[in-house]
Amino acid sequence: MNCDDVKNDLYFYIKNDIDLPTKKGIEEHIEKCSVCKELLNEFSKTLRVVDKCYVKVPSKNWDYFAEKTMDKIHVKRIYSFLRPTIGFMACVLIFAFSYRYYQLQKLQTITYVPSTEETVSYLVDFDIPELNE
Amino acid sequence: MKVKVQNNFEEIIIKHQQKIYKFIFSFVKNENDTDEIAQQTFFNAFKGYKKFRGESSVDTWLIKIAINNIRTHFRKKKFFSIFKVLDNEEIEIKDLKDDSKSAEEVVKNKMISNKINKAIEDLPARQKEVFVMKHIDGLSISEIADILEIAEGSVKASIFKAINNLRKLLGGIDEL
Repeated sequence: MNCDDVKNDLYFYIKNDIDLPTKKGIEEHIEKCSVCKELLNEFSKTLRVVDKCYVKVPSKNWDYFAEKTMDKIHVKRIYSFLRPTIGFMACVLIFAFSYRYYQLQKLQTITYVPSTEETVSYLVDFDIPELNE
Repeated sequence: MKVKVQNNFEEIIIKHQQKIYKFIFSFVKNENDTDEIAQQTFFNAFKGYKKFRGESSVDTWLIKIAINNIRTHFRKKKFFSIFKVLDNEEIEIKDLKDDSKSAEEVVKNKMISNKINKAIEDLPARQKEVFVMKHIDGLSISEIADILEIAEGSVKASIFKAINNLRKLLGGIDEL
């Protein structure tokens, strides 16, 4: 075994999760290679430190959790159907309002009737005697 | 038919929820986020249940979905962390196994515990995934290779790189 082979199997050697021939091969290599021996010690130390940092998984009422998960699935399923529908409806509404607004604007330009005061002040400029009386 | 699928799926949830929950928690280490990701995982699984052809075990299939949701969670977290001025997020429920009584010891242990978790968090994504799956969740090399769709040799190499990086990151910590 060379150093690269040993490196990839060091974790499994430390955890004793390795077949006997590989284990023997690693032990023989470590006897001769001081770099791998040092690495083995360092790795063992690191794993011991990591192992002491124990994270407790929160305890749960699993029946209740399963029930809650099923409820959430139902809600999400309804929501997943509603989302595209709501999106489509919103698009249609925006289009309808924009079209209506555009039509109204067009109509206003065509049927624009100036107020009487505006008409009078406009006609005054033409000097019509009837208007001055 | 619909009811039958729902009943079958409810059985799957009951059977696998603890393992999936533990798996997600080992990455996220936060109860609320774990609840959310676990529920999202089962929802995604429910959507794809009809397409599940049984090529892998249900466990592996669910873990594959869970790992995708965990990745999405971390991507979102990373994106929103840009908007945070102070990172005052607390890492939950971390305890060291020893029964140290004094306040000083408790604080010291908490600090060490935080440093270890931070070191694992800071590992490159692939190394972190492989290390947590192997060391914390106890999955086999072939299972990890199947879930991540990589060669078994790559799994071993990633474990080596992960421990090597942890060794460097935790260099200052004396053995407890």
